[in-house]
Amino acid sequence: MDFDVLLRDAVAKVCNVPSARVQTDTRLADLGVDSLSAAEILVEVEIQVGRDLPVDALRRLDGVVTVGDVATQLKAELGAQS
Amino acid sequence: MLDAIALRAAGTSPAAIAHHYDLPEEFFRLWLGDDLVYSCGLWDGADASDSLPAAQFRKLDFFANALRLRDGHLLDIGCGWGALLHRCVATHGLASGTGLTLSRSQADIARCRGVPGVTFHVESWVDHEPDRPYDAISCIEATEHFASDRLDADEKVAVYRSFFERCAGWLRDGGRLGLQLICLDNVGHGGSRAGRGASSELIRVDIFPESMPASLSELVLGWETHFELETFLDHPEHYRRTFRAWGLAYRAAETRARALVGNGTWKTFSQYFSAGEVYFRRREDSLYRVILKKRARPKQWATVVTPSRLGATPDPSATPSGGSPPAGASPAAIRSHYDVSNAFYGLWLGPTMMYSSGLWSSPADDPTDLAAAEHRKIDYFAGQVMHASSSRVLDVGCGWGFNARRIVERHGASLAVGLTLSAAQHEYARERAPTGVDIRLEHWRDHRPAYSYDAIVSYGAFEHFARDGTSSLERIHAYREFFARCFHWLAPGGRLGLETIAHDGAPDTAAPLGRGPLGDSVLSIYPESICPHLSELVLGFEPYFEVEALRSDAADFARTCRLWLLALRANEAEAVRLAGADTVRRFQRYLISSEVQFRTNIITNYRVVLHRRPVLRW
Repeated sequence: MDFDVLLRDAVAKVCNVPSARVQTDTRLADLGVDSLSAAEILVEVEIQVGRDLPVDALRRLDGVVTVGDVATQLKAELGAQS
Repeated sequence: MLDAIALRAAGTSPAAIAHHYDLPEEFFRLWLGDDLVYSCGLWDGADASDSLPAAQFRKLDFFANALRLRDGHLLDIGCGWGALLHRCVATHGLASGTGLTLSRSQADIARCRGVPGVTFHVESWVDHEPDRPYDAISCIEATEHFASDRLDADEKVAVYRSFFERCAGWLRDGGRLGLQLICLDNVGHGGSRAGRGASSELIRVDIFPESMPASLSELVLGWETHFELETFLDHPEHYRRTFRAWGLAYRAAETRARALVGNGTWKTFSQYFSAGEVYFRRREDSLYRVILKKRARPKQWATVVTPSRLGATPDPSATPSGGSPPAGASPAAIRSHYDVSNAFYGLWLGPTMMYSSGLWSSPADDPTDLAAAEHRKIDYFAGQVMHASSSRVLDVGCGWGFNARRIVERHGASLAVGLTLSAAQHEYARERAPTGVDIRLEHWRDHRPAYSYDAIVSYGAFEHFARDGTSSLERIHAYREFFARCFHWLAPGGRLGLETIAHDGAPDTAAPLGRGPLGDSVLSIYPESICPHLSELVLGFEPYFEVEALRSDAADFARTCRLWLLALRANEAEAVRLAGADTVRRFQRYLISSEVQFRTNIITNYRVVLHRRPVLRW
């Protein structure tokens, strides 16, 4: 599955909103993402991808603003691993 | 923090250091050997014929490996004659380093080694100002000189706090600090003062004037703000062997030694080797090896604990007042969590119904086999605390009873008594209890056994022994009550195996696991509960127990949480039917937030093996 679709589904599931509401330019703050839901998104992505990310990814997620930023960030983490 | 003048005054004076370490190098060489390593070796426990030189190289290699020195820059505080820095450069790829000693004679000899990239200075750590950050710091049996015998416990802690703060400032992010420490053990601070008898006078007056070991709690209070625990080893037996080896070499060189230092000093050192050996055999002192890692940011404290604020230790023989302790979670709060539904827990805890961390000890262990990891955990603790097959064992917070069953069926306990406050757990465990397993619906404060136990285990119950809203001092007092009871219940020589989630980098607040949504999600699941900090745990057990093992195993619990989450998701429809969608959702979020908190060092999982002190001296 395309990573961007996978991530949008994960964010939608954790935030309990329809997938259509989660777009690349959607701001995480507008979805009510806090430290707990950030953790949930990280674990959800890890389960779906079948690989663990360095947990530093979570700390770096603090600084991201939109779903697209998260995608870029996590893809970089996954790429750096492989 | 103390300033340089106060710190210089607190430690062993240069004159007192010179009194010991400036004896002729040849004298030390007679019994230390040509490598001149003047600290406890790391012996091969399985090899009675292991040699002192091999044990000393093994010790140096242990620190070099644990501190990950390849291509790094090392500060060695109390570098002696330079053996560690020499070894690290010669065989471990260390790029550069600095050695500090207060002994001019040691520095001269160390420089003669000609170690490339390394400089040696006659300088106190108090005055050290590095020109660039270090990747690691080692301090092998030097802390004994940081706080002299004139200081009281509070003053010692202030010195250690300053020392660890300085070290953190000198280290790069994520840098490590390796310590080897002689610590007061079966004598408390008061009992260690001068005037305790001939061997104390010898060590404290003739051999190491103006020096004093720390107790473990004093050190933890010193380091916990800036460092997290990576490795902890308890090795008093290793010092017994080291002193014996020194003493034998010394005897063999008696004629030369007398010629070098005179008959008086010769006799003093002869007594020192015997007294030192006996100290460790009686465990008045212990020897710890500790690897610490610098925290990403300093830990914040709501209460600054000092030893004098703790008050008297509870008397183990005194009967505690009945009912639930105000410091801990109420039985109703406990039941709100554990009485959800046995079938619900069965869906995700799996066949063992163990509600605590599995243990993965080697890369060969299947990372997805939770049941095997739970068995491994039980077997680890049983191996550590049960030293006879017919032991009587108490399990405080026995959950659904699997540990008690396995301890009887696999480890040959004659009796395993399990205490739980959950009616659902009690019913489940009783139905499955074989002969020899006795499950009771009873608070540990109300437990009045008619016999003594040989061993006690407690997994994941300690988190309920103090409640949210308590201060550090109140928690320590609550923990001391528990450890006092354990001391009272155990036969002499008995052991206690304890596993507890604990705050690691998380700040000390009245709320568990810090503030914010992560912490709130845990409190909503565990009302009236709070995890300890390491210093609280150590201050709790120290009056009553020696520590034999201490592990910080956050990764194991993170993995356990993930496996529970996957099982709960795989059985989600059934879970919702049994417990309702809201409960399932709450548990999923709590498992995720717990996993992430373990992975980010906000919390950890301590595994502790404790040995009942022979007598109470604290």
